[in-house]
Amino acid sequence: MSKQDSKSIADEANRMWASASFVGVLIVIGLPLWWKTTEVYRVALPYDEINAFNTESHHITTDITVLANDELTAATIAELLKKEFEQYDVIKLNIKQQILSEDLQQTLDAVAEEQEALEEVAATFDTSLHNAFYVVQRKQLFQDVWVGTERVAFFRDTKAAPTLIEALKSWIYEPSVLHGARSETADAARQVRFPSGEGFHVVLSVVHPKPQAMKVDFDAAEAVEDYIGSFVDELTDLHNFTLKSQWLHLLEFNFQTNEVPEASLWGRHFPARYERLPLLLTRLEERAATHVSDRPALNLALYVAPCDVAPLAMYDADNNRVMSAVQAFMSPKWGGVVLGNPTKEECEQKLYTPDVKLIMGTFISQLRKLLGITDKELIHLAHLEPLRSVVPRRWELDSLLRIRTLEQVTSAERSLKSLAKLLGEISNIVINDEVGASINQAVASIHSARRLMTEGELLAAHHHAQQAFLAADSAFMEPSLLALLYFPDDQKYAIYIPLFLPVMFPVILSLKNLLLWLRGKPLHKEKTD
Amino acid sequence: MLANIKKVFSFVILLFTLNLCDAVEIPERFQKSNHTNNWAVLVDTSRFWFNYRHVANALSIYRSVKRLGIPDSQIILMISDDMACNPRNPRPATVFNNAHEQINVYGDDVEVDYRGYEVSVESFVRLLTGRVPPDTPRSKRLLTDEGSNILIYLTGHGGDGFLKFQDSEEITSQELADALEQMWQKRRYNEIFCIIDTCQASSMYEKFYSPNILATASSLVGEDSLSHHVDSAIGVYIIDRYTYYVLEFLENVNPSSKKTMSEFLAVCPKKVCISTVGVRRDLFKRDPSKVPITDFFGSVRRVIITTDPIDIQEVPKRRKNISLNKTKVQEKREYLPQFPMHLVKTTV
Amino acid sequence: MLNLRLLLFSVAFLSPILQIKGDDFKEEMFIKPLPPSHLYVYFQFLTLANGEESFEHSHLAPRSLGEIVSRYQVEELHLTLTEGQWKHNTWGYPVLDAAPGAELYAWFAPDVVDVDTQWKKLSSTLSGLFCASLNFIENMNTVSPKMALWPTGAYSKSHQNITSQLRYASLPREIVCTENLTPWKKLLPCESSHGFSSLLNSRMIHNTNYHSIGVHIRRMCSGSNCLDTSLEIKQTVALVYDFKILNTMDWSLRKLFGQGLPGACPLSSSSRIYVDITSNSSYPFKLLPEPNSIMFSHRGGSKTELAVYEINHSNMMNIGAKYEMRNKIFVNIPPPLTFNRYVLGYGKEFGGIVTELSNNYWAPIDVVLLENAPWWLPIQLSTLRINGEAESKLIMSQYYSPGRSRQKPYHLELLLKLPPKSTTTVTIDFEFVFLKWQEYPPDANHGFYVGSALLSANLPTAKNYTSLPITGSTFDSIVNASKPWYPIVFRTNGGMVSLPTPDFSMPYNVICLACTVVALAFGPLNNICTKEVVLKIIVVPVSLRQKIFNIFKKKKD
Repeated sequence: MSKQDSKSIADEANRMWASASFVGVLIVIGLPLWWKTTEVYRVALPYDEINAFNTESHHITTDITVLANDELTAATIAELLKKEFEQYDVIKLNIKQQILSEDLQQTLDAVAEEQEALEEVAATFDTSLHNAFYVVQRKQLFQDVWVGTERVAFFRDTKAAPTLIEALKSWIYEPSVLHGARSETADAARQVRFPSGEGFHVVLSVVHPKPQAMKVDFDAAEAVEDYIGSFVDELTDLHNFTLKSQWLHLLEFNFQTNEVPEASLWGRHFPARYERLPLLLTRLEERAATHVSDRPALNLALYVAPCDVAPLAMYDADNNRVMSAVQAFMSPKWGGVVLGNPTKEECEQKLYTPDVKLIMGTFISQLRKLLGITDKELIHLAHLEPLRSVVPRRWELDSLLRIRTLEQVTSAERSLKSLAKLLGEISNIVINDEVGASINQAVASIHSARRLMTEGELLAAHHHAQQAFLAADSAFMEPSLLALLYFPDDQKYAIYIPLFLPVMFPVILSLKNLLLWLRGKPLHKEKTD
Repeated sequence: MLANIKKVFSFVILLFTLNLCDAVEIPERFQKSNHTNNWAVLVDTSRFWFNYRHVANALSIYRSVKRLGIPDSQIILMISDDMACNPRNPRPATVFNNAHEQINVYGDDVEVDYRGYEVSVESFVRLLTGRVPPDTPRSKRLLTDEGSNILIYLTGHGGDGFLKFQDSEEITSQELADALEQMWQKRRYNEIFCIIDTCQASSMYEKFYSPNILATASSLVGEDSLSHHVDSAIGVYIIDRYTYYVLEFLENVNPSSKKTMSEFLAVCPKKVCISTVGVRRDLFKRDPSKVPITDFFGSVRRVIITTDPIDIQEVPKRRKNISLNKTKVQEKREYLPQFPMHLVKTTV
Repeated sequence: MLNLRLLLFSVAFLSPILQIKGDDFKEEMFIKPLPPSHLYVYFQFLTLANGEESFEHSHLAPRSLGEIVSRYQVEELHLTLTEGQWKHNTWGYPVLDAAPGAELYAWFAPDVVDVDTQWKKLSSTLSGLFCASLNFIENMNTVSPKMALWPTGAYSKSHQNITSQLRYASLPREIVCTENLTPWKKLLPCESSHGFSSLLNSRMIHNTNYHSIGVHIRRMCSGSNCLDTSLEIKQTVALVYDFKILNTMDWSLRKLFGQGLPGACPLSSSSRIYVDITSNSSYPFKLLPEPNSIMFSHRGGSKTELAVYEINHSNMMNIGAKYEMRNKIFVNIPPPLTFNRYVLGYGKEFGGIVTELSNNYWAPIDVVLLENAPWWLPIQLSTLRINGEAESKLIMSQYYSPGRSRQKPYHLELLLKLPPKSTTTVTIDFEFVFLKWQEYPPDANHGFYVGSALLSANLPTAKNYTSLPITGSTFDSIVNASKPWYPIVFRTNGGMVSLPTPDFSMPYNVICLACTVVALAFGPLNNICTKEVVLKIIVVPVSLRQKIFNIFKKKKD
């Protein structure tokens, strides 16, 4: 009897060990292993830093030096400047005052032309530094304030202070535009200019609807290289530009227009109504083939009006004729069109020679607006020297750098914030190493850009801001972040539960018996048949 | 008697005040929209010859949208199978949406961006979210920005909560809603108008949760969308009921039309469509009766007249890069033999 | 001083001339009746662009193609989109042969190191430009032919190893329709409003037995010493009309294209139509209006007569032919080299591909046969048999590159010398492979296409040969262009195999079955290991009657 008892005890022990091993393999080893292997690979991301970004707190520090003939003027101007710009949190002025040296004062009084005065100032102070501006007093000014192409503004005396402040606000610094660059909703200026990017293609298309009726003498390649090339060479700090040109022959557009007689050399004009103009852009896009390039394209088109509808005159939205030497229009984020009208003699001789300077001047003006250089409104008693060359004004370049820096930094922050939110919400997106690296790089660049913006290092800040923007975009648009490709959690459970639940059922139930046996209680289970 | 006079008097006062109201108030007929460009994503998800009508649906909307001004570069057209040059098509290179065969909706200048096997759930979601493979050309990307109004049109076979792609996979309503939310996070649209023409189509928009989306579907959950008529010369049903009446409506719309979205949403009453048209408007901020139809079907492109050309005094000359001046050693070239004669063993 | 003035004057005088000299555009059409009931029409649009380094500025040449060529450093590019099969044994040889579906091959510049990446980018960009699914071209369906394809452009002598810069891929499943024709037409300087391209009406040209549009870019020598090159962009359309579909043998431009020719393109320097009237002797027809001139060409022993029409910008023309009644029966004389290809085998385990090459000429012909089998159709080199023999004297050179599953296709090239007046059969076996569930296309039961084989032949005769010599670009370069050899690349017909296709509703069934099996297997196993069944005696309560019975039973004992 005892032998049988001991045998049964030994058997029971074997059975319990078997049950324990089932429990061990399935629950202790198997469950964590399954959890680990079906886990989604996610690189650790700096969520705290991303959530701490405050897009409304960015500002740029810029230097301004007031140079006056005496202490009082300098102090007054500086005080007024400080008070005015205190209300803008997006730009902080670092105001310095200085008295002009005697001989410089005399030279400024002596010279007649403002340009020479500029040169004298430039000889003494370094006006080529980005993000610095000089406000210099010059008693011989006609108007209250004079602004040219260099980073210098002349003012006459203290009485000119309000005009000076106004000029600095709406021409040089444009805090409203900067504020718009930082905000979430697009303001008017942002709706016109192209979005920030690493580079653009500028394509000049010469549209010639009737090549058999007239020849056009225009070297598009040379015009684009010389005029537009010299312009974009100044903007290499901001974007890379590739210049292209093409001829689109036999591309006809029906302006649906009738002849209107008038007293002029031609004796007539053909109205190009405002509603038809956007349709011309659609027609141009069909053949401009700009989608082959990998970067956004700025289209500049010269439409040579055929002789039977020449000269074309544009009418604006209020149906008034546009009386301007050049008939041109542009469309935000697309490009610009110039309507080239041949003269009567050119039509008779069947050879049209466009006025290259006028046409390229129009294109440059359109390009400036499309790239972010805003129109300058007239200010009473202030004189803005009109541009005489394709090169943009130095302080316009600074302004553009500021706008783009702010835009790119805030855009990068918003992208990272929404990406972090997304990755938090949808928990089964794989975050691989590239995405993690891009995000970390973006965060680092944002921090350095912020620091540099506060310090006033504009070029370096822009460089870092661009890096941040590109890194954030590439992280957000990473093709591997598609949630679709991976098992969502409910599908994962739906497949594994029917497989493992019937297996787990007896194992878990046997846990109870195992515990009882370990505690030493005898177990019996009666089952009657 | 007095009561009558009082009634007449009050009536006259009422008329007077009504007239005054009309004269004083200038009703703003349309609520202003702030979109700057228009895009359209038109997807036909069915394969095989007997689903000819879905291709005709998508192409008909494509034609209308192009006619109303949206350029090809802003239309993404996805067609799953080729009907026009299909060997079974008795009229090659044509797709008709009407048995009278008046309009060839395939046309002469169609540009299909995704076709055949490329139309899949993955490529559709990638297109919407912008996470396309790195070499994708620009014509196959959705390059919208924060000012874009997008028209999304999906047609095919569907069910409760899903839409079938190519008869082999499905997109669920949750996936579509998630894709639209990701678009909103990146501010890739201003407003979206989503039209779904499948069976039980309203289940697809029930899960949307992003703002500024107006959606309409050709049938409610539990109902089937039906096709319109057969063309016995081609041998299959060639258009669906909902799209047929939508097209009838759109044929009367031109780019300067004053029709509103609410008229569009009421375009197919139950007695002609047999299924009930469903609308989801709670996510849409504006009132559809004040939104012009050209906000989604037409194209707006702002035009700014330029009146200030730069007065260039001297002709600039670009400084040529030094690297371009490297003298390339001109190598003599020749035409190569077109057959590997050097490997031909001469028989001994 | 005088010299300076002279210099300035000459510069001022020459610069407008230099401005006018730019790209050159020519358009040509070739019509050839293929007795008894077909008509071959071939369009060729040639643009010659000056050989600048980059094509950022273009005049007549399409800027998009120039941009693609310079961005990806492509030396030569050939793309064709074809629907239909060219019947070589009845129709003779085309000017340019093309495989059904999409076919793309390109040579990259010698200094390109990573050719595969550039190839992938090139195919993706072209897929966006031509609205075709060329983005399906990847390394797993690309080969680098070693003997079959050679560049037709001018290469410098120092370029070794040209074949390593070559990539070839074909997608037999591609369809060609108006959506490919539309962007193709936009590349032409005259688009589709003027010139020969206005004849390309999609409803008419897709109603044909064979239609193929192509883009061929290569560098041509400019100048006799060939130190400079110009880029030649050739856009071609090849159509084969069936008189039974047209319902008449009297063809005319109006019947073929739906409209007459509205004059030539104003930008073309030459617009010509060539009609092959060699068959006029056996099938007489009259051309209306009368051609401007007739050209005779003796090429390699065969005579061709061409009627030439010079089209200028203003006149509308409708060229037609009127056939006279004839009572002759057509006897087809096959061309020197014909071929056929088909798939052998039954069942879903093994199969074979057979290529039959018939040399109908009295001298041996050298050919290179390129078999390009996809990775899911493994062809076994050990089963290669030529005319039934494993080791054959006909093979002069052989190249075999085995494929790797999901990475590389199978690539076999054979240089054969076909004996005269004989048929050579090349057989190779393959086995079917199971694909993964997600690799099947949505219509898996349609079948899987096996692409065409390339056959590069060095013909000793120019019979039925209409191709242009590589030194010429315009069509009149075939006149009297006798050479010792006439190389041409043919494409055989493709094949179709039916791979074993699973039932796609299987995943759900599999999950249910697997779960049930696992549960059923595990349950008893667990029970055996952890439980022991012990029998226990149960005391059954006895009834009174039984008790009394037992007492009696006991007493008995």
